[in-house]
Amino acid sequence: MEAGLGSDRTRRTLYLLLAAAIALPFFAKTVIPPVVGREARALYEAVESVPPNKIIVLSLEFEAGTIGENLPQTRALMNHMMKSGKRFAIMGFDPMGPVFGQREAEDLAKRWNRPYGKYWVNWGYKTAVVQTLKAMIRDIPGTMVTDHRGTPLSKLPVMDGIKDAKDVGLIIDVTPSALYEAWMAYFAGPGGVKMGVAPTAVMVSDIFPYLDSGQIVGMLKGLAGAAQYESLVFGRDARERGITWMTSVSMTHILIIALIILGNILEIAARRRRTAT
Amino acid sequence: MSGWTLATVVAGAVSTLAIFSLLYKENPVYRFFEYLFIGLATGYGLFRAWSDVLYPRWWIPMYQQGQWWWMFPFLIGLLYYTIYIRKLAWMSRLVIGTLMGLGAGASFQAIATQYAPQIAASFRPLLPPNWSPLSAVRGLIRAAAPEFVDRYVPASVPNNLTAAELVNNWIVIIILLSVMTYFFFSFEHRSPVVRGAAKFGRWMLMISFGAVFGQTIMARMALAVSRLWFLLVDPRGLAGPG
Repeated sequence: MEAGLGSDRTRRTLYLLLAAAIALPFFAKTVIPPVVGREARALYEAVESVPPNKIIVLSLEFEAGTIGENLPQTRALMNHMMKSGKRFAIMGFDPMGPVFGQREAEDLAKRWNRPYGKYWVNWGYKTAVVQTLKAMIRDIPGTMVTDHRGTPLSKLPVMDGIKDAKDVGLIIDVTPSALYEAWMAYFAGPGGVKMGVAPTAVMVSDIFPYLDSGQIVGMLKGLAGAAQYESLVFGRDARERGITWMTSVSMTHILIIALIILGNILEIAARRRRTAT
Repeated sequence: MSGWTLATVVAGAVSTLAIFSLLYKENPVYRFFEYLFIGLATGYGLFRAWSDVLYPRWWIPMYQQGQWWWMFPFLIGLLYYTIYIRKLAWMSRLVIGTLMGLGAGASFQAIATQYAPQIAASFRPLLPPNWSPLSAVRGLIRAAAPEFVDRYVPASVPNNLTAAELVNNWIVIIILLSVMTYFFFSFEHRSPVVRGAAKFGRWMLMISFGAVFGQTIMARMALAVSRLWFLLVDPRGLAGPG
């Protein structure tokens, strides 16, 4: 293709600029502090309000394709739950979600000294969404039976007193799909359990009506939501993963806006040259 | 770093660079790794369905704990495949019909628990605090039947709405009705009022699509950030489940 605004060379240069804008904050000493939204704060407060006799269910439905958003969300939520000593259970209706969750939880358990089985448990990958959720309302240990390693749940202290939906203080669905609707329809709604959602940014507009109606108590809006949540847990200037990554995304937004303005200026100039000739 | 971790990190880095090679131009290496990823993801899903669900919850009870009756779900499931045999295809409809019935029942519950609260939430107060729309009429009727009015007709409509909430409620109701008008196809939009409302509804839809597109850009950038973080900063941490 000929040289010009639409040429291969221009396109590749833009990709390189984008890569540089992303990579720069990785090595910078400062971050862009996030402004905490109402939805992230509401979810933070919902986690804080869970009493010690109840468990938080963290349903991880994502695969490798969306770890850019769902993994920082998971990490931010786990950081908060481990820091405040909340009991939580990982599970998922996607095979990879609980595996990613286990890896993050193992990493953070060392940081906060929260051993597996006492503070948190991994119920593992489950199939048959509707049947599992409906069964969980009446009998959680009978539905899950063992953890992801095959250990009977009765042997894990974290499960003490956890019998049915009444013992779940909050369910948070970290998801790039509409599975949160199943959680709402078949578990949170009928079981009277509070629910939060950590969706990918693409899904955010669809979820606002559920926030307005009170069916969802809070939401993490993609990577931005993860960064906001981390700022609530660690402070606005913390160099945690979500805040650092969101700084990179902000840099790309600045670059894209600058390029749009530049592109328009060049186009107007070219049009004037064409008119003059 | 152990040998296995190193191998997963190298495989992840090579795969990432191969997928990024599309940014330079379309090439066979990109295609190969794209198909590899799809195949791996499918295979991994099948393996986990067996190892995490079928093996511990079906195979072990049936073969090691003597619960032979778990054979029946398997045999019933096999009826699905009779769809490929013309003479026996009716058997597959037994399974399909049962599952459709279960799905329909579950969906019916979802309407009650998921959508009914949405409908209820759309009924929003649109009047300012302590505003009595019928105060004048109420006074007239009260002159004739004071006991009835005092007992059954409230003097005002109490609510704790702030001015911002009141405006917000009006915005929600106007947009809700105009968007619903746009999707109302039972009659032709001839009336200028209906046409105007539908046009306004379409504009509101376009604005919401614009917001979704903006969020999509942010989502895609986040994915690029995670891959570059893996390549430049923390290959071990994001090498994937290990």
